[in-house]
Amino acid sequence: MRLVAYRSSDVSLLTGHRLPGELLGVRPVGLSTSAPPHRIAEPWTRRDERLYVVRDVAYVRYTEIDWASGQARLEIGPRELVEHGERELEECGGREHDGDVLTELVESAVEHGRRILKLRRFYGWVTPAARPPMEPLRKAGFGWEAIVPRSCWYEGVEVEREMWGMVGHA
Amino acid sequence: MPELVPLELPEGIRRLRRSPSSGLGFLGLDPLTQSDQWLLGRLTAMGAALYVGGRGTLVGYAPSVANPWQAQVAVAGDDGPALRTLLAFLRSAVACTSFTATLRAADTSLPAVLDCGFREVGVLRDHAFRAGIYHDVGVYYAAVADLRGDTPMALPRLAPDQVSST
Repeated sequence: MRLVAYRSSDVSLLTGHRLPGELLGVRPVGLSTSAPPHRIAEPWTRRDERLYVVRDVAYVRYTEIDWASGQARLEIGPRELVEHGERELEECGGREHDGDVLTELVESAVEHGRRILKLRRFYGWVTPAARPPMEPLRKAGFGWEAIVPRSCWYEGVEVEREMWGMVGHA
Repeated sequence: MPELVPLELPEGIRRLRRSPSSGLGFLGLDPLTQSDQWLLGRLTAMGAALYVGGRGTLVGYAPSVANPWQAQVAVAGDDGPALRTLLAFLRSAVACTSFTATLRAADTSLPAVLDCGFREVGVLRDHAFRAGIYHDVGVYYAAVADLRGDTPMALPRLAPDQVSST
């Protein structure tokens, strides 16, 4: 998958039903259909942030970049495919996207960050309560590093969030 | 009664550079390699606020991204009372119910943070580059119920006419 620079025609990718700051921002399992979508900002204001897109598939954002340490927080936001009803989502186990597509997306994001931005470490937030797909992250080399209780408001409760990270040796 | 004096961000960044170990790791910043404009942009984007504690120690906080009742805190130096004053202020004025901090093992403020009741909840491997090597950074967490030590009974008030200006 090729990551290209963001341009204004990709603005529809920035909005979606996902938790803020999530590493792999698929639609959380059990999210009510009337919940408002989350929108990230366009990359014109912050200097420690780089936004790329895979056209019509997802956005990839490297944020809070520390150039001296070569590390960045990674956010991947796959596009919501269709408008699902709640029952349909439960039937397919809450998975909108194919696992292979997500794995390729995460691996492309890491490879792009390593090759183009010359970063060596990526980390991100994962909310276990939303039951995101973990296999794409494990296959790309991410590992569990920390767990912060009460870090995210989800479905009426303060839930814990995990930090998953990887160090890519160039 | 200890007081917290709020600082404008540019003045706070200048004080951060003058603090022990030049404020390395304060709220995840690196004043040695990051310029004033960069630090200002980062602190503004985080929504951070900086204060000066009773003994001139710089303290600061930034609200967490996904939970407005959790804040990341930092203190520049081994000053437990200043951190306690900040935590009490955050509890009373910002409605925080839990706190996080990210510190290296060699950070000067680690004893103060542990003394206040924070516990380690994870380690970010090879996260920060300081003094020629990559360091692991520990993530620390405390809920309001975990805080220990003599928190002041009367809640600290900000002195409104003492806002430091450039």
